[in-house]
Amino acid sequence: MPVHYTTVRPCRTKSGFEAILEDPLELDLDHVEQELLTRGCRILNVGVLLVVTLPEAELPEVHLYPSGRLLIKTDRPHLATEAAARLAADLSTQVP
Amino acid sequence: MISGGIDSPVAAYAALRHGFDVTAIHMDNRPFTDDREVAKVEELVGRLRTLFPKRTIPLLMIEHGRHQVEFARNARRNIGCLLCRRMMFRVAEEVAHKEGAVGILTGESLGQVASQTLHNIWVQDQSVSLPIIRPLIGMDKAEIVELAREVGTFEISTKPGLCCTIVPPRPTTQAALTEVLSAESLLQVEAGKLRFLPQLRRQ
Repeated sequence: MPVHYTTVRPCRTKSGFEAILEDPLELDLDHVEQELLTRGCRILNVGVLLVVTLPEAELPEVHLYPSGRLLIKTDRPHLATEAAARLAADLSTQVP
Repeated sequence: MISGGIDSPVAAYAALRHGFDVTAIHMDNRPFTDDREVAKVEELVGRLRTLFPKRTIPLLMIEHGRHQVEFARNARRNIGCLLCRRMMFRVAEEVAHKEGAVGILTGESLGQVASQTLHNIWVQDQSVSLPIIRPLIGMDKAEIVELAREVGTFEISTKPGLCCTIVPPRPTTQAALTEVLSAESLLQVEAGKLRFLPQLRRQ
């Protein structure tokens, strides 16, 4: 099922973006970790979130929560949108 | 203990103004914060050094992110902030002993966040034997902000930065000390597995 994110800036003083979904997911982070590893990502699995380093060096680090929410560590909107789109494509294969 | 936020630099200012010698310790929470938080801390300590030019204010950066990883992986999520704070206090106490300091200074004020309820403050205090000095404990946020503006730290503290990304959605406001101790025993906090001074960087 396709996954579509909307990126938002939570507040003026936050140096990051959030990417939110209309309907939250219930992701199995261990499973997602394995999938993202096969797609060239580097992952720190903390159990309650994944710290995802995308293979594209220009894209920022992303924290992925079980609800599908993303926290994207950049203050540049286009990079946040690009990172969210990249992960949306990866997650689409995980959602029935 | 100093963060990139509004409160702890004001607490440090209050102590310095009263003649205390202060060693600033920052628990570097990356990857659960970002580089800007660290940069803000450096700038805040720089501001304090400018305000008190005759005082030496060392800044120690201490890696804390991997503690957080262990807490998140191994303990119930709603006590994560307390485990985090208690670890910070333990590390601060070890630094204090090395530096010859006699107390741990924080920017906590009562009730501001879940870890700062009176009960949770008591649970935190049980992690160390040194006194915890909290100059802001009875102040409300508006008063602290006013002071921060006066001493010139507010503009630095409110620069963009990333708050902790691993804060639980529903942190407990009244943790049972027995549960916290039990979680720490599983983590072998007291046995040395986590009880270390990782990568101390002095500036």
